Amino acid sequence: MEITLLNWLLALSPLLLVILLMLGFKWGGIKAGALVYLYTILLGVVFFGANLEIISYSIIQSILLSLDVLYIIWTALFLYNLVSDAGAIIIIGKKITAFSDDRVIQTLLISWLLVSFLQGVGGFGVPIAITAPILVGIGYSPVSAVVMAAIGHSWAVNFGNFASAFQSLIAVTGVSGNILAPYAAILLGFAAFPCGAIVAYLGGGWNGLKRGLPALIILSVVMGFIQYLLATSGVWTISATVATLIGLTCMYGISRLPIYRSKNSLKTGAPSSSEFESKSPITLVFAILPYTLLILLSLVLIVIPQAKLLFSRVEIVLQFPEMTTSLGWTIPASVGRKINIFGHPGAVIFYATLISYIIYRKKQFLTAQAHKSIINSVIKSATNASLGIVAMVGLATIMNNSGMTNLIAQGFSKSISREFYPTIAPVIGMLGAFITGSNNNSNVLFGILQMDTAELLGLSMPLILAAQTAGGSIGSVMSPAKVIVGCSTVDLTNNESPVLRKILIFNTITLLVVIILVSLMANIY
Amino acid sequence: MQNRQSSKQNAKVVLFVFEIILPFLLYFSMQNQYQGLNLVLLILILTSFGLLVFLS
Repeated sequence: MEITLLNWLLALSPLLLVILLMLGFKWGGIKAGALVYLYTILLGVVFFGANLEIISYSIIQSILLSLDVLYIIWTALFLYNLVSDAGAIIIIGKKITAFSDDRVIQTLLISWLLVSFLQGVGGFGVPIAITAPILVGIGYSPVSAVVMAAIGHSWAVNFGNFASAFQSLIAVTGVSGNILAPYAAILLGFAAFPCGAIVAYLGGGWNGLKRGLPALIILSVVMGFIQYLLATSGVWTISATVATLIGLTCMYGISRLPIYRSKNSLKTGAPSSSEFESKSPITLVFAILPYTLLILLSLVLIVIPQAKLLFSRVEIVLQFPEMTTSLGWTIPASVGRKINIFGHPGAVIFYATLISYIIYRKKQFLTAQAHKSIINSVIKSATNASLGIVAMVGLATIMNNSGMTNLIAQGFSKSISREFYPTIAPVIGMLGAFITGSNNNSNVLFGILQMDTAELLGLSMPLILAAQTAGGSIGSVMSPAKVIVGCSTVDLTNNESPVLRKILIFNTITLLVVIILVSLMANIY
Repeated sequence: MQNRQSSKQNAKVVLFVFEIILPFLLYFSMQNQYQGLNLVLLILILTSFGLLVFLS
């Protein structure tokens, strides 16, 4: 497909329209997503030569991709409503404020360390869906809660979730993981600091950031170093998980440092431990039971291959044929997104929720009628959020299958000079993840293109590929699809605009850090 | 008022179930090359999607 300024702008127009409608006109994700989805179908047919077959298969593929995400949203909503009904959220909030009176420590603990750890074991929106309600529980506004949870873990996306995005990059480019890992680990290790710093700022303003600086520096160095060490040793699948686990352990010691135990602890309107009043008989052990089970079950599926095999036996798999648009863009034959019914992260959340429900009922933390109110609450919040996801994923699939996404990236790579390309490589990765909502998909879409461009321009290929996946890691939490997931768990469905705006503004800082690093490294390598 | 809300919610759930099931039917219809049915299913998917957006 030939690139002209007109068709490049047309290819970019669905993205610009989503941003304009959601940020400029403050439309909700459903309305904006639906309109742009239909617009993209028309655009694909009229200007990009997509026929009825491509549109039909794209719709089917997008439903599979949506189900992959919705499986997590629906079960995460069950989990949230269960712990909320049992009064567990209040107890967790109470204990977190008791763990440390310092607001900065509480903020970093949940919206930087815990959320990143959950990315390590879950991914696909689980971290935001789980931690945003907890942040609301300790006194943050729903908007701040989603923004902090999203930004706090963007550094851990690439090596989190069993490093699936990194694995995809290796698979599509054929470049050894041992070559790519050092570059990616350096970029994302450094990105950990701005993620934490932004969260500290959002939680407590400039004072919060200043106060959190010692903890931020110590934890960034520790986590960045551990992640680098593990990733370069070939065990990148657990590098982010172990790094954040060690970070969480270090946090206990840091919170006991004199600076964080002084009477001048920063408190910014959050309810202190004494302010939480709960008549719920639930103890902390039972309050965190669903989360403990979630982590344990996820770890079982990582470390025991037989368990993984056993739970991966039933899958929904659809084969898609090769398709070509009238402009010559070919979509290779592929197996669509596989939905692993029993081993999916959504299924793991469901097991944790079900076991917890049975125990809560036995311990009488829940009434006999509790399941009805839980199901009603889930249906109420799930339908609107699900529709927003279907629309966003649908438009991303149509863009991809009609060649628009590739055209956007090609336009960038062909019009940019060798000196400037290292600054654009992370932006392309970010754009791919922003459109598709996934670091994984961004790497699949743009991995080859970035590799070819790096070779053509005589740049370090592993560095450019690392920049691609680092940009994707940061961009995935900015995507409207993920914002909708986060908002659905804190009653912000259809009010995603302020959340998206804040995430775009603050996450750009992390992206800038990566861009500067890539530019510096490009001069060295 | 509450009944109306509840009916709207039920309609949304039913339509959403359609929105999930119909693409799978479309897939099998396309695999078996039922040309007329493909078009009908595609129209149904887009219509139920439009109705869902309208109800939201």
